[in-house]
Amino acid sequence: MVLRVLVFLSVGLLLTLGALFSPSVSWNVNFESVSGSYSVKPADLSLVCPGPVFRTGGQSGTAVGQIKRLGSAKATITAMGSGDLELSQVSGSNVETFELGGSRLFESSEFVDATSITNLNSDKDLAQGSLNLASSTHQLVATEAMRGLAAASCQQPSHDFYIVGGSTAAGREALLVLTNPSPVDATADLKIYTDLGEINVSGLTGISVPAKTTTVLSLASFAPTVPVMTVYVQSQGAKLAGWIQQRVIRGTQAQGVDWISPNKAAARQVLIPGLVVRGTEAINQVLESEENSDAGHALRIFAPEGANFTVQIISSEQAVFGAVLTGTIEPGTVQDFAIDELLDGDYSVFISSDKPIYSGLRVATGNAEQAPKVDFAWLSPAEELSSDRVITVPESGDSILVFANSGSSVSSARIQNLTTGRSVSVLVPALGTATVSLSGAAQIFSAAGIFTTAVILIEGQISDLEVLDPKNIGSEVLVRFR
Amino acid sequence: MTAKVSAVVLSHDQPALLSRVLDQLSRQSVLPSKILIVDTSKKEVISSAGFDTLKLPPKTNFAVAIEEALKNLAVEGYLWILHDDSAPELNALEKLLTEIELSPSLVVVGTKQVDWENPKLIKQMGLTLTRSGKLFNRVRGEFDQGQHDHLEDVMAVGTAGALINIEKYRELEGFDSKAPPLAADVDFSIRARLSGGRVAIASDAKVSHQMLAMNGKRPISWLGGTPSHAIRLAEFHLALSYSSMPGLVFGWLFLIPFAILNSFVLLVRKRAGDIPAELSSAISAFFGLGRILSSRSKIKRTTSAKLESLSGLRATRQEVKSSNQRAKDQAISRQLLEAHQQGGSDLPPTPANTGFLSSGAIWFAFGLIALNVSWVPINFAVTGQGVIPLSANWLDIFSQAGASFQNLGFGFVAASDPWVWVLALISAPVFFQPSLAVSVLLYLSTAIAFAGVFRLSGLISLSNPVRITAGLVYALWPALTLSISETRFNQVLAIAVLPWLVSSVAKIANLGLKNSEFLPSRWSEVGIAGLLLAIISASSPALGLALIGLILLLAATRPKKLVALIFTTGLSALWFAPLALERLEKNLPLTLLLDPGPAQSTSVNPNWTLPFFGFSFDSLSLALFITLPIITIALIALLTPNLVANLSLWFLAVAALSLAFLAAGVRFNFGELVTLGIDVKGLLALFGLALVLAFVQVTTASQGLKVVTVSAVALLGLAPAAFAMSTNPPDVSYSDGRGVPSIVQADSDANVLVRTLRLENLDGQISVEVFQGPGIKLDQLSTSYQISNSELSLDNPEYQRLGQLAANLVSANGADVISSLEHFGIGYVLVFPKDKELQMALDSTRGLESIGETDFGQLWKVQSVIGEQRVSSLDFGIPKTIGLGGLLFYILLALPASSIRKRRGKESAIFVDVEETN
Repeated sequence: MVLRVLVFLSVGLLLTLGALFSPSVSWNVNFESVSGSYSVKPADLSLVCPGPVFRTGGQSGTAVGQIKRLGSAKATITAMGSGDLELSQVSGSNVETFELGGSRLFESSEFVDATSITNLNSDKDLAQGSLNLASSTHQLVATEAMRGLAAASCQQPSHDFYIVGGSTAAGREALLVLTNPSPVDATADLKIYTDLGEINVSGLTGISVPAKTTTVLSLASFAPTVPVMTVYVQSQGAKLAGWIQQRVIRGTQAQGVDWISPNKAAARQVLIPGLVVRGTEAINQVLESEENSDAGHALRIFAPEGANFTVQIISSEQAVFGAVLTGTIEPGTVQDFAIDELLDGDYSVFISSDKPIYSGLRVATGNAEQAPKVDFAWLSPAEELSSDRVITVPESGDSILVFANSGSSVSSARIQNLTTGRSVSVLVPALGTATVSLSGAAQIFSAAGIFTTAVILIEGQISDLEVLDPKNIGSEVLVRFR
Repeated sequence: MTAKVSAVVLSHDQPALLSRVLDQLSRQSVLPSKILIVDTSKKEVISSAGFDTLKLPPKTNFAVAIEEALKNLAVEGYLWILHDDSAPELNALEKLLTEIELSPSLVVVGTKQVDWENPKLIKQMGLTLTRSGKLFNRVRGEFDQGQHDHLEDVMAVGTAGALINIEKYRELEGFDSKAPPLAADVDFSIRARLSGGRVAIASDAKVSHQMLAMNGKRPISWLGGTPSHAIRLAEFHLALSYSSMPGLVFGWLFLIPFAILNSFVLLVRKRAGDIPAELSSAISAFFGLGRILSSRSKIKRTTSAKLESLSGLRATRQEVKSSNQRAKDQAISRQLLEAHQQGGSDLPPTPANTGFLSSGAIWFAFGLIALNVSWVPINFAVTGQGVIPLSANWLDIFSQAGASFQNLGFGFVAASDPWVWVLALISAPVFFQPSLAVSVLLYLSTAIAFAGVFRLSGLISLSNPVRITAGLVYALWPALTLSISETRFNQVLAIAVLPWLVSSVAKIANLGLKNSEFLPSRWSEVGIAGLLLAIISASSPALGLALIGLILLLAATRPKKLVALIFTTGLSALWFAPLALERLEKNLPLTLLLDPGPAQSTSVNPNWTLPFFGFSFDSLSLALFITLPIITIALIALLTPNLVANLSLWFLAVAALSLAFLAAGVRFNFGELVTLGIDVKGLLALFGLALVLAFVQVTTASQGLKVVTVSAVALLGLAPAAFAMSTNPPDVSYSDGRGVPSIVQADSDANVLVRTLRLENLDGQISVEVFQGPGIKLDQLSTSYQISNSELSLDNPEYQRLGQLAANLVSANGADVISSLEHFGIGYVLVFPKDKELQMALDSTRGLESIGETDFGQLWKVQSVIGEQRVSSLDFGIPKTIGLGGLLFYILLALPASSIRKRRGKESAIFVDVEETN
């Protein structure tokens, strides 16, 4: 028995000591493996410009199903790189190529169709962005059925995007323009949200956008007489560029047209600089005399999950008080909030929400002595100037860069005219706004907390251009073989 | 009364027996005219009892001794040969002479040889050859009731008591001095026959024969080896001596290969003891060509007919069959008797109802199966984290086993994992739907493990409650339940069959209780153990290596079981040999321990929580519920009697745990993304099994301890473990085994060679898989795929290009991907599971046509790639041949030996066995 007890104690002790004092074993056997990181070169930077506006109904405006381009849009382009710049008409075979040769190119062109602008071999240059390629188009339309200034920054195609804006109420025409610049066909599915939520009608899915074409859809065919809407586009196959062309006719007079560009991603903090108020008196006249409730400025918010929000409208003038409004939006619905009683001036809109929202700002401009009497522009939220950006604005007219500062301290923004090389700096107060005039191509240097949008005023008509930094990101892809 | 008969008594160191022979001889009813004792004794001094004695050297062989004797005897009449262990009955010579008188043509007359002690027992009545040339004793071990007295003419007779015509003897030039001892008498009789004489048995003439030489009681030099060797050598000698010239050349050249082949046959037929004689006699015959040629010369000189003319005197198949049946019955009787005698002294009386069915254990097995009811198979093929379906065609699995070309990726040359042999083996019974085997085995694994431990624990305790409890503990031991929850089929299989292997090894090594109900067929157990060890080694190489080491250690401590125990490792060695050679050549021996099947990272860490399968203080593991009580009770076992057994079990447990500790620390890093470890749950199962057996040992100490420990384990361990098992089912799904969309399957069915690129988004990593036809199956996986210098090496430009292709595809950067897809013959791109980002990327890629969503993911067709017709062929190289041969050999060895009779050379003179009936 003594022996057994000794053995018992010995084994117990051995186990205890082994458990407590056994060294950590780590034996690594290393093999090289083809599984690992792979560098992926970025795709060539390519932007798509919408081209001229569309006229429905032909010359008379009554021809059913006829949608044609009207005139031409003027494009301003700047690019830099070691390769070539290619301008390719989406629906046609017209291709123009410019050699960049390492220097900056400034080009103006008349587009009669949606046009794809590509900076070829840009992967060999510095990181992609608007420094490599920036472009915008604008078109001053003046026909019986359509008058106004329609401008848009050329955009990168995407597989899905939201466009906040548009109306199909009486006298309002909203055309969804989808352009497929790639050689691959695409199929688009739409979702249309209104003040009552998502509408459910047939024909919203499986919309074909063949390769190298532009498909134009009248949103009224899906959502007639809807004054408030947001459209979500999701494509399968090729990426698409998309806009809503919004046109207004009051009575027999055309009063405004504009391109509405896609929103960026939903966010809780949204800044929309560029509430440039001009001709308030004329606007008010239209509002009062013609009882057009949508002639003025309005903020449109789409809250996929519902939201409680606060809006601050801040003027660039210290002495001018803007406005504050709060509201609640039901999930999945879109609402317009009228912005009135503002004096002429330059404002920015700061939105704070408890849930992510998409938003758009309709800015009206009044011009009592010209036609149209009222024009409007649909602004999308701006991006923070986290990187240097280049924007091209028309040489003609007055173009204003409106800055907004989301930070708690004064910040400075510097702008350099790329044609003249002249720089100018502007101080943007904390939670405030500031403006600077602009013409041609300009580089805006990065500034933390600063957001900006360009507003174009030509012949009393208004439109806007987003300050974007489009890029394809070259990356490292981790590939694991199995 | 005397006759013209000269009697020769051959004496060799057996004076006591000789005196009885001489006494019987001197009192014959008809006395020989002359009696001569030829003495070749080496040590003993004989008493001649007044007869003449001729002293010859001890090494004098039989033929020379007779020849020398005849020089001192009459030149005519008859020669009566007696040995010093063959005592004639008093009327033996009279009866022999009566036979001669009745038939003067008789050249040789033999006697009815009866048992030395019991004259009623016939030992021999003439000899003959079987149709395959084996020596055959027509009558042996039968009680003499006159049933064979009708026998007269025979092919040959033994020389003990044989009466030979001297004149004919001279014509035949006597016995062949060049023939092996046991061939000389048969050869002489055959030559007598072939020269026109008769050879017969005088059934009334009896000689009591002790058959010292055949019973191994003569010196080795007497027969030139063991009796088995002497018999086989005589058979080889006779076969070659009487064959045609081409037969001689062919037979002699292939003598040794034939003997080697026959040795395997003998092993399969559980007659390993005959193998040394088979080989040694073949070698002797091979190098004794001169003797054979001499014998052939003598045959040619003294005979005028061919051996074929005596075919009527050969043993018939029915005779051989009957003889074997008698031998088998005698062997079984003898084994039962020995077992009974052995068990009578130290074995407790065997209680009734100890079987798996009669004990009620089967209901507990059903209970274990019932715990798995939430994942009962609803289709053929199971899919989980660690298991995927097998190939739909069993021949595809078989072709992959032992193959030297792997179809994984773009295909590469490397030895396949031995695991594929296991898959081929287990799926063979359900060849029509191979994946069913995996599903069923995974589902029934706990019951299989339970039954194994129930069987194994019977070697320690005969108490059904204890054995059932032990079985349940092992079946619910976390090593198995964790493996099931991770669906690591290879580990599950290894752990489930582990107790069956240990049981077989224990029986081979004669460990544990000797169950009188069990008739040990050691070589059957060797076959079973060999198969089980190979299955375990292939399924869990780390556990297999540990088991092989432990078996060799056991063999070293049990010299008598050395060969049998070492033989259990044979199939494992054969299966692993190609892979081991390959890895050793690449200086990567440690990679042999890589687990086969789908690669998974390990789930246990090498620290003090290892025996408890890991836990932390903030989250206790359910495994503690069953491991803690068992470890505690196993420690208590050291305080109970039978210290050696308990200490041995603890040695096993600590060894397994230590190896698990070491193995758990090994990490195989394949580049920056893939790190694999060695799955040590198999080793932890061995650790648990040793503890479970220690628990069983405790219960044998006293009734009170049994009640307490069984109750404690049932309440503290089994109940929580069963609850955990039933409430944590593995994440498995069942399907018909198809792994690709219909369009890809259709191409595969039509033998169209198209590759598919399968992409998966793994939290930012893109998993890439390239396969042909119906997708990657469990039997196609290969550990060689990952290993350096093999396929996925940085040196391999093809895979680098594929990696870049995948990266470009998922990033949709506009780079040219079509040329690479065409280069690799990739006709389809499959994304599984569904991934929106990948879908958008592939949708926007020119040249890819979206087919849409399928049950197996989102599919794109590469428009420009057209498949080629595939030509399939079965790779039947050396590794496969050896692996398959080994497998078949061990299967045959494992088959029950009920119809096979053992050769018992010591008990009966000469016989052949069942091969004659086949």
